[in-house]
Amino acid sequence: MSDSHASHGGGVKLYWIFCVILSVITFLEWAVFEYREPWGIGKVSLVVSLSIFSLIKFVMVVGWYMHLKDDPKMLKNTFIFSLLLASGVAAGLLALML
Amino acid sequence: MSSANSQQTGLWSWITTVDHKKIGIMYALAAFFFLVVGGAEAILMRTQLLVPNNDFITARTFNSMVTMHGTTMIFLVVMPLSAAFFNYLTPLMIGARDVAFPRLNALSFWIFLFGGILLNFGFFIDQVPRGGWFGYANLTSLQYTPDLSVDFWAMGLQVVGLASLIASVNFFVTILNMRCKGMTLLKMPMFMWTNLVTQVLLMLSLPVITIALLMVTFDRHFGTGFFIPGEGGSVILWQHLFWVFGHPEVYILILPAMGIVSEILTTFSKKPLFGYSVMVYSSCAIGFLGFAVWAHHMFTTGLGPWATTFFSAATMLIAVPTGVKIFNWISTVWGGRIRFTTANLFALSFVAMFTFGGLSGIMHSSAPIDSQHQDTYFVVAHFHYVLYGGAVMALFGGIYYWFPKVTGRFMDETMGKIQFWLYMIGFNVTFFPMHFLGVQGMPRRNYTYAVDQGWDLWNWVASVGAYATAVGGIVFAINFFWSLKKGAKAEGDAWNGRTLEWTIPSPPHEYNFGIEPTVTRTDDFWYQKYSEDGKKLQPPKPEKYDPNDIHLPGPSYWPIILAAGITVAASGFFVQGIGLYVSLLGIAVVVVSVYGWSFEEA
Amino acid sequence: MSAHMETVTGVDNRKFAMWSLIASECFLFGTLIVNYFVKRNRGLEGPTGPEIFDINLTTLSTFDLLMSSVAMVLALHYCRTKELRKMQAWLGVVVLGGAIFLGFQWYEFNHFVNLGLKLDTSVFGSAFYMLTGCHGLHVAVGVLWITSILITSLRKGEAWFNDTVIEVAGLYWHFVDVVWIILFTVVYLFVYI
Repeated sequence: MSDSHASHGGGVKLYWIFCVILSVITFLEWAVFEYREPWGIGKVSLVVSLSIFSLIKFVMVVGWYMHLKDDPKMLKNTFIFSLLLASGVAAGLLALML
Repeated sequence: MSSANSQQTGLWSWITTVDHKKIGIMYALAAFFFLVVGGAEAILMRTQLLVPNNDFITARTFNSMVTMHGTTMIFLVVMPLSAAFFNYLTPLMIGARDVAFPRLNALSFWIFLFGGILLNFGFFIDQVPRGGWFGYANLTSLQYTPDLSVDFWAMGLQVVGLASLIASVNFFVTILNMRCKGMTLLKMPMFMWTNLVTQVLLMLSLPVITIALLMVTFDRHFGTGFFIPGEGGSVILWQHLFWVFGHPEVYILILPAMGIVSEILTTFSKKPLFGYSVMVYSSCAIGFLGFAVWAHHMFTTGLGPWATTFFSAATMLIAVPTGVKIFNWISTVWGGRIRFTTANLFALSFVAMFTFGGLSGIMHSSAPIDSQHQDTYFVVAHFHYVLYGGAVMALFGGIYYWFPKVTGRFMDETMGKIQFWLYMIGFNVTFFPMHFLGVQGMPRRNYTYAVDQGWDLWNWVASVGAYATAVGGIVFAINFFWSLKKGAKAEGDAWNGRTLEWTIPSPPHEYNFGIEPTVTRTDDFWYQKYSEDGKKLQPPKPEKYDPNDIHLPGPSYWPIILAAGITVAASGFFVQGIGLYVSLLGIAVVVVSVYGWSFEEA
Repeated sequence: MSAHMETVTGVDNRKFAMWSLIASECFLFGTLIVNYFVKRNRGLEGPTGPEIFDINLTTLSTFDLLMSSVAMVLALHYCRTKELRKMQAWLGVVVLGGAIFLGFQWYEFNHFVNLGLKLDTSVFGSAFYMLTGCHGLHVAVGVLWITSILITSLRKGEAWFNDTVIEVAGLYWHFVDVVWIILFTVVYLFVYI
């Protein structure tokens, strides 16, 4: 069985803190998109900032909600390797097709 | 749960079995059946091409033979035969009682079997797939293939693909999680390493073809235009998606064979595998790089200089770990006390034939040269050398090698050698001349050729070779059935082997190991029998155990029912009018089966 | 048989299997995303993304799915602390969140069809529906699965605290959420890129 934050409310507190952070980031994503013109955010800045936001959400959910951070290396590597390979192949395909 | 002594017999025990050994046997028998089908398809083609301007079969039939021979041999012969070995041997080689998910294992088999039938169903209604095993768009669109043949192909592949995907997760988890005490990853038999890499390749490449085939089906049935240029679609996207799957697929076809060769050569040279860890890293490198070379199948599609260069270089790179393995096999055999059993003959021939195929492969990696090879018989020669001279020969070697373990009897060596030579000679007579035909310009997938092309001689020779191979196949069948009843009895350690499967009786008990083994090094069993300098040792006395204490998962009928539900759901695309209801019925069966399965007592 | 078995990695077989499936699905959704990007500006008729996407609505569904992920991890926590009612309540929130997401998607698809974008109108529409539809199908399967778990718990009560089952379902559910995190960005927020 994987380790658990079971016995203490500390685990729950962390989940709620992350919940707030994830919500704030989601709101920021919406705001950056909605106000890109008044705030002078060009296409490049938009792509970069939105990518960073979603990457942060991704890492938080995968690392902490899915507990990958605390899992054995073999499990971590299985996922990370597949994710990177899929991203690489997708990037290659996009480079070839777009 | 059933205890070790509650063995059942009869058809129902096979239908509900979750025993990896029985499942492995069923995979092998199904693969043999499809080998006959695929072989017949080849014979029909070669007879049509025996002489120029032949009218033995029509062009339409020939195209169907081209398509189904490839599809059958790849998906219904080599992959299931590899699966047979994975199934039977994985728990035995890692010292486990069964795989991680026994019912899922059975499910994979039944899905494969039903999918194989679906794939071939077109034969019964004269709508046999004829768009090539690679189904290039937009030949597969409704406009250019209005009948159901493409749907049999697409849906059939979806179903057999699902079987492989489920099995890949099963074996991946089994190998990582269920090795016996002391068996670290780098102490596993080499076959388990190629198994592991193969499962990763399956897990990651199958989803791509799943989506691509779904897109074809949507184009045909739901009016989308993914691969239809007139609607904004792209035919080249199909080629990319297909080969992103298709290239890892060919490594899926060859890696199990490579693992089998490693096992056979070491046993019959009485030497450990040369450079074990290098072999491991090479296998991993081949698997990984396999995802970076797909567009070498598309050099003539106008990729542009950057892409062409990249894929050309990556393809040349992948030759390095492959070549390393060849040298390591040769070094393994070098200086060994070689026994030329039939199994070993097949394994040795793999090394030679696969090298030939690799050489023509390296020639293809140069894009300018490939532009001359593309769509000619030179490519046909290349892939038959690696897939037939390579994978198929190794798989036959595996059959002769492990037949004694499975049945408790040896296959007849005389008949085996006759088959081997008929195969070796027949195979080379058929495919070596195809190199010449290729550079002489003979195009692939053409149902006939004209009299003044200068291709007559080699075509005739190639076809004669095919007939020799067919005779070899008959000899094998005779040997197989004869040996089941009359073969020489084999003990547990039939060949003086090195790995754990030889420590248990032939055939094994249902529970495999009375006591789960502990190992300390690679080829642990060998070093219990012999010291480092080859002196015979007194092996430790086998410990006593009570078979009644061993509990195995009980049989289940949910796998076959769930598999049937999936196939029925897929079949909705072929039924006029009530197709939707047929699919819904299939889905309902799937849902009921999933719940039934979940609540079943292990 | 895969329950309660000692494993070499220390990870339960079913949990490892779910992560393997997730690894596989990276390629599934990767392919769909590539297809979407290739097709999104190649539609020959019908409305385009900029004309019909409602980012406000989509942001709400993103938020909804995120909340259901929080609920899922809390449900697992209370399973481990054996607090039955809390576990069941949070499982219920997950199901509700998933159902709401599907409701939003149903509304969105209907709205798009009314605006003239059907599955076969253009390759943009086809690629969009295939990608988001596939994700929606995954959500639906997840809702069904977690509902079944909740019903099992309601029927068995204190006798049933199978945290591996809930953890595995949770992994699936979080993954579905993670895919949406990506889709929200690359499909919707990148609509003008």
